[in-house]
Amino acid sequence: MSTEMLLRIQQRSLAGWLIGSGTFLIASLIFLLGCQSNPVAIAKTPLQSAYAVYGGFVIVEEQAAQLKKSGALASQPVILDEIIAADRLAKPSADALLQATLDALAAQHALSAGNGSPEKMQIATDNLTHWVTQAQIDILALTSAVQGAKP
Amino acid sequence: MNEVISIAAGLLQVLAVAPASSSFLNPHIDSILLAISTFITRGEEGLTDFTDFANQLTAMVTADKDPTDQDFAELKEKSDAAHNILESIQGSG
Repeated sequence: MSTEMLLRIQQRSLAGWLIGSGTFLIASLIFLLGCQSNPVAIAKTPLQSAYAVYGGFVIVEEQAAQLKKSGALASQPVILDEIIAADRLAKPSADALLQATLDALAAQHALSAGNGSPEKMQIATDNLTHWVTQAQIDILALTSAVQGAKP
Repeated sequence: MNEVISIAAGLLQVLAVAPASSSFLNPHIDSILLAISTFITRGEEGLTDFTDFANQLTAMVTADKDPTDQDFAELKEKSDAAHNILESIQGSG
């Protein structure tokens, strides 16, 4: 291996380390700043996590509706349109999370009643876990839009 | 502030779909993403709502109970009402 190649590998390793460290520091900072009243941090089961994410979404969506109802954005139609567009993105994802939750609850009830199977319960739980993560990503734009619009 | 959030959100979205490259951070993605939501909705009203909701969830966790169909149905009703207001033509600008 040539010296030039070794140097390139070292440079890539350093760049990767810097990116990784930076990412972690940013995420940690945001996490520490936001850890108060963090419903997902409180939740201990997949169903509780789903409830935390869905409930958080509903709170933000209600804040968005309140902004519209109050007329606070009457002079800023572009911002209101951004909020509405973000809600159109977030709501289907939140509804999918809700459906995954109801499926998981149904699988749990069936298992308890002796009609279900551990495999079906596992599939429902995996699907629920997927939507808990995906919904948080899709809700983020709505959260940001509502926060940006607050007087 | 919004720029920082946008960058962080983009970063976390990438991490969320790239598990192989972020094995350390991924277990914490859920908490981090919602922490961002909590942080950026920290208006007076938002903080109260989130705190109340967090307290409700804490009680649930302490009692070692999962939410029921009814709990989710109540949230769904609120979501649909808020969504309908957002989608209503009157006052939408």
